[in-house]
Amino acid sequence: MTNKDFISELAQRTGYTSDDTQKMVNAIVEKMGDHFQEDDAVLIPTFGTFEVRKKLERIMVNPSTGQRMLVPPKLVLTFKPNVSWKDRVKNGGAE
Amino acid sequence: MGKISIQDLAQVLVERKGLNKRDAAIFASAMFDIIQTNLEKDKVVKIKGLGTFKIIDVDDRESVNVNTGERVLIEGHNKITFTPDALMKELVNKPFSQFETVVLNDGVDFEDMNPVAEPTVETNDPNDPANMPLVDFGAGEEHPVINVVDEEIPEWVIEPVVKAPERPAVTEPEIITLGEVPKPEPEPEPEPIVEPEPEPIVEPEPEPIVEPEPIIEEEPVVEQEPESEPVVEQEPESEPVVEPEPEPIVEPEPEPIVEPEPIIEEKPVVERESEPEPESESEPEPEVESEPEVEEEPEPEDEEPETPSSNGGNKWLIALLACLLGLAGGYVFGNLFPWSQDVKVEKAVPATKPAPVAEPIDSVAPADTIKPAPVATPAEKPADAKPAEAKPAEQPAAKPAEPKPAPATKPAATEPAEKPVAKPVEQKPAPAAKPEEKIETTVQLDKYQKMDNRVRYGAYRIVGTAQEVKVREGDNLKKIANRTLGPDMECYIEVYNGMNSKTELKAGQTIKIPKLELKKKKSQNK
Repeated sequence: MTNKDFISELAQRTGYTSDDTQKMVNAIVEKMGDHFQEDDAVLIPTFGTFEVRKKLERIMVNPSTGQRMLVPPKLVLTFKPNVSWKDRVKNGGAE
Repeated sequence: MGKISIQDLAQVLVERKGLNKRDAAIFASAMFDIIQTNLEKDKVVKIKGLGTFKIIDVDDRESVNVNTGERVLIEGHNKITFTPDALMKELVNKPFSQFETVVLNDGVDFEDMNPVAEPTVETNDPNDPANMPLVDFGAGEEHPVINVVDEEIPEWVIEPVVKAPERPAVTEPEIITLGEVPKPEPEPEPEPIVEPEPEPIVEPEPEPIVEPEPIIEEEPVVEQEPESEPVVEQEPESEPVVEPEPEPIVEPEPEPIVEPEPIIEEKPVVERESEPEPESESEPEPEVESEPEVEEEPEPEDEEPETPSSNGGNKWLIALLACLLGLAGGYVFGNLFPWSQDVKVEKAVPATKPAPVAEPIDSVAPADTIKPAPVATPAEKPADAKPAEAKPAEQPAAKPAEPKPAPATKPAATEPAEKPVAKPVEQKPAPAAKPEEKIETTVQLDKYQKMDNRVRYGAYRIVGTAQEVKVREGDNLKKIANRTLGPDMECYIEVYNGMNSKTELKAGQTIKIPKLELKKKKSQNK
């Protein structure tokens, strides 16, 4: 499902124009981004949790050249699905 | 770390879009509900600005029950994954965005910091390793000295390798000037002859302006002293050539006319001293050792006493030289002073060394500067080796001088020991001030490093042309690099052909593919 499909379906369900819908989605995503920058986790009931995790620096080796690289530490956005949803999907609930 | 609920997200709609709270909450939950249902249906949902949700199949795999040690089969299942959008990823990583992945040179672990710092002090040293083969010759002749030399060499060798990108710092600037003026090409073969001439010209100019040079001169001196005697690495090359012309170089600045003559004479004098007067020889050693602690001032004093013994007529010259050395020492001292006490100590050592030898030192110094250049180019090496061989023959005559070499070597030994301490301190100043100078330096190869940071800090250096490639239709540098050198190597081609990533290629155009050599062959981890 592409972003376009997503917006049009959301627009249909909520009764806004797809333009407005896109703007509102953007507002929400932006807001989430603001929270992520402050290291806040975003909990969505029945959906899951967005969380910012810190990855430590590490040394990586390019297997083909043997060249070693120092990969800097970074912050990564992770998503952990709600347990019940995860189990449903895991057991083929998707099908 | 706070936790934000969907209500908080809905709040933003209320504020910005004028929705009422209820509608906003409905909208937000509908948004995620749709993601959820469509994800289950389509297996993938893309949300602009946020990221992509996917359901992926995980195959069966075996695992071990940690508690019982039994092998367990984990059945295949579906899993939800989320990949943040590039924008979101950057946003989240903003605090760390200034970090970049760095290529590590081989053998560098957590000690990276120290080797980098050394360049300032070592300037001469890096050259030594390259000359090592030469050194061996000298070593064969002089037994006592040999051990010291050998020990030193290994240290130097290691350091230069690690530093490769930065090491040229101090030494190179001089070299460069020399190389540029005379034409780098001629140097390798005629080194002795050609180089001496250019040096005189170049040095005078830089000295007044650049302080580092004085330092360099002094340090080279130390090394060269040994050289003048058979032992030291650089000696072989420098000796024959250096004596006649090098001194003129130094002198030209202060006293163009007077010194040239004395120079030739003086060297012989020095040798004589060593031969007939064991005492004079012995003196230098103790002085050298003790001097390291002492600072520059003592130097001039030392020089004077020695010189008179060698040549009464040259007193004037000697006095002048002493003054020059003193000034140079002052420069060095002033420069180093701010950095740290350690630095001072190191420099003091080099300064002390010149004192015993005084005159020869100056002459030698130019020689040192010259040599580094030859080292860099493989082609030049053979030339170096020859001079080295020739020298041994000459050295027998100079053998009496052997005692001196010992003192010279000792100072060198002391230097390396001190350097490690000083390194951390020096690191900051050295990289900042000298990198640019270095780059230009000597060998053409090094110039590529200056042109591009990627090359400078890359694992390879350009050592020549490996092949020439014709550009095909639709080619760009990256594609060519992928075909010839491998991924992410286009920077070497760009630099080697004087292009940048934006340069447009025409089909049929010929591109030179550089031949690359690992900067440090020693340890390639696999």
